[in-house]
Amino acid sequence: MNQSYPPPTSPTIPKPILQVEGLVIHYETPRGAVQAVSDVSFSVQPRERFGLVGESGCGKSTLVTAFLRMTKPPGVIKAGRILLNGVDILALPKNEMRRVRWSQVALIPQGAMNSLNPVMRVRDQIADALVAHGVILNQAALTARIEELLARVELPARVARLYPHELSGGMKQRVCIAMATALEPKLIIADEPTSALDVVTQRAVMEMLANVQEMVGAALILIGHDMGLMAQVVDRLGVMYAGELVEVGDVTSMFKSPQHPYTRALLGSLPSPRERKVRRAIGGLPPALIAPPPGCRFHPRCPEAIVACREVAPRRLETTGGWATCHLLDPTQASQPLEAADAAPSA
Amino acid sequence: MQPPLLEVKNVSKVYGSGVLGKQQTVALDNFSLAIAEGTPIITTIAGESGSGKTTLANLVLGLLVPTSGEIRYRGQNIHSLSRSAWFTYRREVQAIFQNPFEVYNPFYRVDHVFHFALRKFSLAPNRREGLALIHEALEVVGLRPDEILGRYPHELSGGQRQRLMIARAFMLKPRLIVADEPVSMIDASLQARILDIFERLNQDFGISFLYITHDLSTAYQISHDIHILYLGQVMERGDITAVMHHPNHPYTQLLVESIPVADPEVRWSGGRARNAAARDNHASQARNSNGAPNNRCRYFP
Ligand SMILES: Nc1ncnc2c1ncn2[C@@H]1O[C@H](COP(=O)(O)OP(=O)(O)OP(=O)(O)O)[C@@H](O)[C@H]1O
Ligand SMILES: Nc1ncnc2c1ncn2[C@@H]1O[C@H](COP(=O)(O)OP(=O)(O)OP(=O)(O)O)[C@@H](O)[C@H]1O
Ligand SMILES: [Mg+2]
Ligand SMILES: [Mg+2]
Repeated sequence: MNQSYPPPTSPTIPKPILQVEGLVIHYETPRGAVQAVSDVSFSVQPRERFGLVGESGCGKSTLVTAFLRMTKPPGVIKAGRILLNGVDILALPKNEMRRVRWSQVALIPQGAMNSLNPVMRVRDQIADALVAHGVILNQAALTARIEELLARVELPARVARLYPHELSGGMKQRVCIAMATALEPKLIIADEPTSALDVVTQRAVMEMLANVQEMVGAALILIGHDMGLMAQVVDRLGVMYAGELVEVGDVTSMFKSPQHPYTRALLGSLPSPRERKVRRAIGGLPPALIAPPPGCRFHPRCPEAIVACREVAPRRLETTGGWATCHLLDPTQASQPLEAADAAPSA
Repeated sequence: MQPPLLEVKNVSKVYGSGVLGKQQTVALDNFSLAIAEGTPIITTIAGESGSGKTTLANLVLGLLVPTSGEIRYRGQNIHSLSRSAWFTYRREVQAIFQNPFEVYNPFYRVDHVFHFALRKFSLAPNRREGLALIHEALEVVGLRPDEILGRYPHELSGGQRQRLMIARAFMLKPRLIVADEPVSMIDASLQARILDIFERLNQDFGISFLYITHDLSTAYQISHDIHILYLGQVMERGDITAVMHHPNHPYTQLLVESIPVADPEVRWSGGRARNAAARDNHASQARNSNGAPNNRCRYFP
C-alpha cells in the first residue's frame, strides 16, 4: 500500500524525514475515549530542529511516542499516516519496525535520566542497549565504541565505570543522549530533556544534544513547555493545544508575530529575566480531552473569541511563517465578539 | 531592638556517609541570613542541583540539626524552644515542596489535608467555622471550593494541587513560608499564577517567603533579595535587581547568561558559559570528592 509513495520529488525540494498526516490517537478508557491527538499533520525536514510546545496533558508525549510505533494500550492510533523517510511505518511488519527504531528514529523519553538502571554501571547499560539493537562487537571494540559515544557528549572515559547515582542530572541526561544516538538515527526525538535541570546544566545538555544531532546529521524534535528554551534551540516551532496542533511556523516569525491567541498567551505568561511584572497567566484550565469543547478548543479561555469560535472548528490558514488555525485570521468569518462573561469563565 | 523573625547564624551542615562517616559532604558552609520582623520580604535562595538549597530548607524547618551554628526564630534557637513555642513555630513556619503529588495520600479526598491541619492546630471551635476557613483559603489561591473539595488528588492538575498546598499553608496564618522549588514541576503557563499568589500573600497578608529555586527568572519576578549558593557556599548576595542587572561574581554571571532568552534573535551568549559541559563534569566531581571545609572558593577554578 505504500509502494506508490513518496511521489517523485525535484532535487531542490528535500524530502521530509518525517511526514505526519491526519494522525488521531485515543486512549480508550471505561469512561470514554480520551482524544489525546486529534487530526495532527506536519512534517520535519532532514537536519531541521523542530520544537513542540504546549501545556501539560495536551498530547505531546502521546504524539511522538507514535513516531516509533510505541503507543501502548489503552492508546490506539485511530487514523492517519506517519511517513519516516517516505516509508509508512504504521504499515511495516513488526520485526522491520524494530530495525527502524534507534537506527532511523530514536527517542529520549520524558524522565529518561531517572530510568537508568541504578545497579548497573554506565558501561554495561550502554553495552546492553547496543546489543539489544543488534550491534555485535568484541570486548575491545565494545570498550572503544563506548568511550567514543561518551566522548561525543564530552563525558570522560572514567564515567563508564560509574553508577548512575554518582553522576549529576546533566551527566545522566548526556549518557541518555549518547545511548539514543549510538546507531546514528536520522531523527532524534527528545521529550522534555532538560525540564528538571537548572539553567546552566540545561544549557550544557542542550548544546550537547545539538552537537550530536549535527554530527550524525539527524533532524531533532524537541518537546518542552519553556518558550525561552525553544527560542534558543529550534528552527521551527509547533504549538499544541488540547490534542491539536494550532500553529506551526519558523521560530523567528512565531516569536515576532504569533498568530494564534494561544501562542500569544503562552509567550505572555513567560517570566522575564529582564523586566519585572510583565507576565500574564492564561485564565482557566485546559479542557478534559474526553469531551473537548466544540468549535475551537481554545475558545473558552480565549480573550479574543468571536461567535464562530464556539460553533465552527477553524481551518488552517497560511501565515508569514507557516500556518495557524484561528477564525480571526479568516477573512470569510464575520467577527462578532462573544460577550466577555461568556468568553472567560475563571477556574 | 527587636530580634529578626528568622536568623540563620553561621550554619554549616556536614553529612557523613560511608564507613565511620569518612566520606563527608559539606552541604552548607557557614551560611547566614536574616529576615526582619515587621517588613515581610521574599528572599530567594538560588543555585544549581546539589548546592545545598533543600538542606537549608530542612534546617529552617527544624527537620535537620545544624552541624554548627544556629537557627533562631524571634531570637530563640529553634532547637531549645519550649513545647508550646515549638508548636507555635510549627504553625507559623510552613513549607511548600516541589512535588505536590507526594504530599497527598491518594486514598483520601483532598479535604483531608485541611481537616487534619484544622484539628492538629485547633484552628476552629467547630466544623462550620473550620469549613469557613477552608473556603477562605481556597478563594485566596483562586480555587472554587465546590470544584475542588470532595475530589481525589489524581483528579486535579499539578497547578491545582500546588495551589491547594499554598491554601493549606495560608490557612495556618503563617509568618514565613519556605517554598522549595514550588513551580519547577509546573507548566510555564501556570507558573505565573502561582507567583502572583505568592506576591499577594506577601503584600496583603504580610507573609515572608524563603523562595528556593534554580530559576532566576521567576526569582526576579517576585523576590526582594537573593543569595546565590554554589556547593554550599554563598557566591553572591544582595538586592535582586542589582544582582540580576550587575552580577559581580563569575558564577552569578554564568547563571544570568545561561537563562534562555525568549527571543530567537538573542542567542545564548558565548564567553563564560561556553564550556558548559566541562563545567558540569567538574562540579559533579567536586560534589563527589571528600569536601572538607576549606577557605578557598569552591567555584574556583
Ligand atoms: N494511559 C492513559 N490512559 C488514559 N489517558 C491517558 C493515558 N496516558 C495519557 N493520557 C491522557 O492523554 C492526554 C495527553 O497526555 P500526554 O502524556 O501525551 O501529554 P503531554 O503533553 O506529554 O503532557 P506533559 O507535558 O505533562 O508530559 C492527557 O490528557 C492524559 O491525561
Ligand atoms: N541525607 C543526606 N546524606 C548525605 N548527603 C546528602 C544528604 N542530603 C543531601 N546530601 C548532599 O548534600 C548536598 C546538597 O544537597 P541538597 O539536596 O541540599 O541540594 P539542592 O540544592 O537542594 O539540590 P537540588 O536542586 O538537586 O534539589 C549534595 O551534594 C547532596 O548529595
Ligand atoms: Mg509528556
Ligand atoms: Mg533540593
